[in-house]
Amino acid sequence: MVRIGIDVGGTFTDVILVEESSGAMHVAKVLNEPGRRAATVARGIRRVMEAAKVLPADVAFIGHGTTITTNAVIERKGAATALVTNKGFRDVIEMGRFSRPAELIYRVQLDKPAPLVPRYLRFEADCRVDARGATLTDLTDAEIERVIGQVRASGVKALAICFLFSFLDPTHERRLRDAVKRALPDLDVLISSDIQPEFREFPRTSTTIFATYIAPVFRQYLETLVGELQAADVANRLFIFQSNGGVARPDLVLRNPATTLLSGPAGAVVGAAQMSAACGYPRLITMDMGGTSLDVCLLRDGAAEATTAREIDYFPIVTPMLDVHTVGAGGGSICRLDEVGRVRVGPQSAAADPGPACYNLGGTQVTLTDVNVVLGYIDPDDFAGGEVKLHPQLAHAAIDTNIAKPLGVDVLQAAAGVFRVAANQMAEAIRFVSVQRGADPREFDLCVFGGGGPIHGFSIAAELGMRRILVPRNPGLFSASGIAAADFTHDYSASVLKPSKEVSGAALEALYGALLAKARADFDLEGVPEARRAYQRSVDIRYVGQTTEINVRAGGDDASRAVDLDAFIAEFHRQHEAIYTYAVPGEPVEIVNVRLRAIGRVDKPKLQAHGGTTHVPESAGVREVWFDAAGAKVATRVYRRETLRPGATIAGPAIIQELSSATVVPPGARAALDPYGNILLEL
Amino acid sequence: MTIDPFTLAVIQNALIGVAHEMKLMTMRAAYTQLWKEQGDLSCCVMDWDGEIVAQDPSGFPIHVTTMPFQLQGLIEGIGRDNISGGDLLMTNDPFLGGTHLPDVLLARPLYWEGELYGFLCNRGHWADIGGMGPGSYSPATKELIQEGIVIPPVKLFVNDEIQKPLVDLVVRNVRNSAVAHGDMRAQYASCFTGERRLKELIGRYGLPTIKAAMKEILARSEQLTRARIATFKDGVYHARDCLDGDGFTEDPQWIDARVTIAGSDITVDLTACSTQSRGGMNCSRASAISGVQYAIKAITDPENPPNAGSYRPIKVITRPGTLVDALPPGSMVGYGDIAYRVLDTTMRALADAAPMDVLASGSGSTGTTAIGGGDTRPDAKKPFFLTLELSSGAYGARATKDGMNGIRYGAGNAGHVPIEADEMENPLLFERYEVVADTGGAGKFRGGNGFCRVFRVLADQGSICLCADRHKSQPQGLFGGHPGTTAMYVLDPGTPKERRLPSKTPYINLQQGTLVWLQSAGGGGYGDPAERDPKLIERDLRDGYVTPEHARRVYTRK
Repeated sequence: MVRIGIDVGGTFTDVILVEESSGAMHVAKVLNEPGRRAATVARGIRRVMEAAKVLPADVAFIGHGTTITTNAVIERKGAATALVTNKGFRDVIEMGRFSRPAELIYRVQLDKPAPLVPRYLRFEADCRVDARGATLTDLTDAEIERVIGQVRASGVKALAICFLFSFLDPTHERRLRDAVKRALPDLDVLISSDIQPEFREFPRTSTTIFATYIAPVFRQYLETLVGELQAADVANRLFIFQSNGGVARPDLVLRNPATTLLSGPAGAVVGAAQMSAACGYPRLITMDMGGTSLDVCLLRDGAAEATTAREIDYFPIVTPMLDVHTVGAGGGSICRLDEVGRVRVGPQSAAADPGPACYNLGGTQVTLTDVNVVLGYIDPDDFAGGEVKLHPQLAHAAIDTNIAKPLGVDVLQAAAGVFRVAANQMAEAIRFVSVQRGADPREFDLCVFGGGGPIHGFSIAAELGMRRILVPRNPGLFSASGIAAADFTHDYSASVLKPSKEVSGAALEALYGALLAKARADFDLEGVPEARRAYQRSVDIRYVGQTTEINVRAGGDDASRAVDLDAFIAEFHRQHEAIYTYAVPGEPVEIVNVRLRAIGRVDKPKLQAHGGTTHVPESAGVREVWFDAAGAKVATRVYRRETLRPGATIAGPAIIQELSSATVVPPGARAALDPYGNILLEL
Repeated sequence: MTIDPFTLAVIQNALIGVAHEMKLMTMRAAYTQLWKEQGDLSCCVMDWDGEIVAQDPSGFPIHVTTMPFQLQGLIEGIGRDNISGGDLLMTNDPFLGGTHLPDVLLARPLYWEGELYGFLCNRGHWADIGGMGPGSYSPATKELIQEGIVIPPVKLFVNDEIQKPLVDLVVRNVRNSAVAHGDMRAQYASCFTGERRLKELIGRYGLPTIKAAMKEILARSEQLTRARIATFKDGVYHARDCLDGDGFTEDPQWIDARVTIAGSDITVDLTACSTQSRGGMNCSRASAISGVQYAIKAITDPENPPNAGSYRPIKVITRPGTLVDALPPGSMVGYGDIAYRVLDTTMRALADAAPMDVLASGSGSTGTTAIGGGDTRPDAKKPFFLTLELSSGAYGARATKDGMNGIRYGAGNAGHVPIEADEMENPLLFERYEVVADTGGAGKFRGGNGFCRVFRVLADQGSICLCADRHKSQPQGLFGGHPGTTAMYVLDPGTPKERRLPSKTPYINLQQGTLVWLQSAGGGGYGDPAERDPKLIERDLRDGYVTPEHARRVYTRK
């Protein structure tokens, strides 16, 4: 049997096929066709199946990471969507937290982006539930009819419904939804008590709107894709990769498409987590550097840090997800001098068009890619597997004009200086992520991938005092291979919001019982065998009076055991101490939400370990590469990664070239291949 | 010594990183939700003269720009010659260049081989600093001493040893001592963390390079700000605006700004402001300067991280004994609203000099409303409650854009508590939280609409206190733009019991079930309404930001 993983990138879609028994891989890289995304994916699947000579019956699983929903939001090309709120509260989504995002404090000429639902499509219903869950104003049939009339007249394709305290009593939301579905059956209607049954109306409304706005687009995409896959007879093996790092059946994802919105960078993190566990690197900071962005994530004990809140355009999305921190720094980041001669790297990006100066597509500004070409870190004749021919003289000229001449330094010094500034900025981003999560980067290995990661890794690690850098095998396919072996993962939650003293064990059992029943039904649909199912209970707890909660897990992996609330509370105190430096064990605590994560475990492809060899690597050539320590370009041996065997060691200075990137080994450092074929660079 | 531009960039990044890390550390370790959640504190790296070199990116402007003044007061209070390595200094005295008592400044002098090269500062808004009421808010205070405990310049650490009696004295004088103690610990611990990182930086680059970088960072910011000011038209400009009363009368209290632009220098003369008020509507010279600096930073160089260099071209003249330069023993509880008006007036004065960069006046108040009291109903959740509702927020219109609706504006940046959290914590039942149509001033570009927060007080012994503004005077428009509407603070509107409250109202009792209607002023418009693009009028009508009747009245073509 084989597993297939799909990762849709900006330019290419990577499709990887893994044989379950041997771990052997086949890869197809297909150029994205704008407007025909489903066809592109289907073509990639057919191509990789042909290459591996497998039959439809051999395909156990197709994991699909998609950017359809994310792009629909960023480009604002989702469906025309309306919102219904309680009377008097339709502007909650517009006013948000009321404070300005930090970036806007001085930038008084800039606006916060507008909500996805304009005000004329925000309707109000006269009904109200209070903070105890009691109905103060009932939702009458006449009121329902009036609202449906407004929705019908507006001509929208999708409708989000969010009432105050619906997490305590969802009746009004459900009644309105059911009536709308009867009257307007073609409408996608989602309610906040299904999407995120937790307190705080702004994040809940925002998440519900996101889910609703992308639902019609996503549904249509899936219908097209399934049609294409039916032709190949593999349609029923399709699963969608979510921001929580797991997969689910397409129809289950359609219940809340917002779970896919931040799945883009999660694939590679899942790949890193699999590697971390399999190859024995328990503490990793991953750094994925592409053309426009840098994604950072912390992994401890082989598991990525998780979070439940992220924002797009300052609008929150609340759904369990891997905690990937993204900053605007990549190969396309523009490097310039400002009007008073200060060196600036980013946040503006030249993106792919016009791209770096060395692309010869009309770009005249300096990008990090240009800097790396001039320093010799990028081979102009072997960039992106030879897909793009680079023109080093254009990079040289751009740096000379924009940076070197105005500063009165030579081009190499200018490039080296910018490289140093960039490393420092990226190191600050990593430091930020670490400090916020109470971690010291020096206790972690830096795991680098993406086109730019292996190039900048040595310099960033040095800034942070990190000693070891790991460049995984097939870094360009990390995301697709991670998705190919991702577990089934579903998250369920229910709101409690009571002091722990008022929460009985029986009440908790009942809540978990209901969540568990949902999870079992979903696994049955997906055909996950009983033996593969695991359930993790967690509870959101805070001290009475606090406004943020901590999600804690304790002794909950076995759903057959009784819920031990005291164990959760003890764990809460312990984690509070770890995160916030103190705990107050005597203080009363409040139970905010209960959560259940259901995991359908999937066998990971075998990784073959190879014993140390006496393999002496042979260099494929020599090129001139800049190193700060030398203060000049020095003749540097270049190795092809695919020729290296486990046990090989290489002393810097050296470049290890591969299809998608190049690992820079500075003088004094040592690179070695570990038994699994990962490069381990020690500074 | 000169410094190469790449090293300069690296050191500037690192210094901002130090300030940012200090802030994150404090937020993590703090007890109060005001810090953990809202980050109502700011951290800075200062040079040896006490000038800001780097600040944390999310710092509230009013905290940060007043910090160097209070640091000067702190240094002078202790005596420069009495400061030595191992000290950690503390004060909250607004008369030394602060804002109000709850903002407590901690400063760590930095030494390298015996040489003082800078200070690390952490200024946080304590959840309580003692005084007349919980949260230390009441506009009825006449003297600073009624607002809470005043901490003069003192050494919290000597030879790196904490001065325990001092800690005990301070925390014993505020409500919830354990919280205050935890917060203070978070504040000083961050200074030590920051110092460790600075030492690493010096180890790598050497002190001369770091000092050269600090000088250069300020010089470049100054150079950029001067270049922008030089594009403004030279001249003397004047504007005045007022606050509605001082807590005792509703007579206007004037802010008067005479602004001189000469080449790349700006002088803002505030000496013609009204005499210091009897109530709490006063501010320190530092807070007034903060309002001026925010206005000018926002229209000269909003893109780049601020530091003392950004403010060197700005000179502010005040007269002691006025609203904007209060003398002891006056109260400054309303400092935020004064700073707002200084910002509005400065911005307005600069309109003819920089017409494309300025904004019409925003809603112009903190809108601070305290609702609290007792609740003896049998099913009451708790016997006492207190919540602050911030009821003011709208942008003025700009040269090419409408103002934003219902959003915080100006030098502070505190947010709103979610309605659901508010109702679960407090005996309130909300009826509305929405943008109010027709409140933004008409213009070629419309002022931002204000918003309302409307709720019933369910408790049987509730009370309300207002320390806000703009219930009589309107936020002004620019270049023919209309003013925004005034703010409204009304009890039981539309009933026989209706009662309009002035924006300064000391605690008054509320009957159970009273409906409280708090409504922000709207922002001023920009340009002649007759020139408004009909498409924008259409859009506003469609979205209900403007009603048809109002549009007919204000947007009729001449």
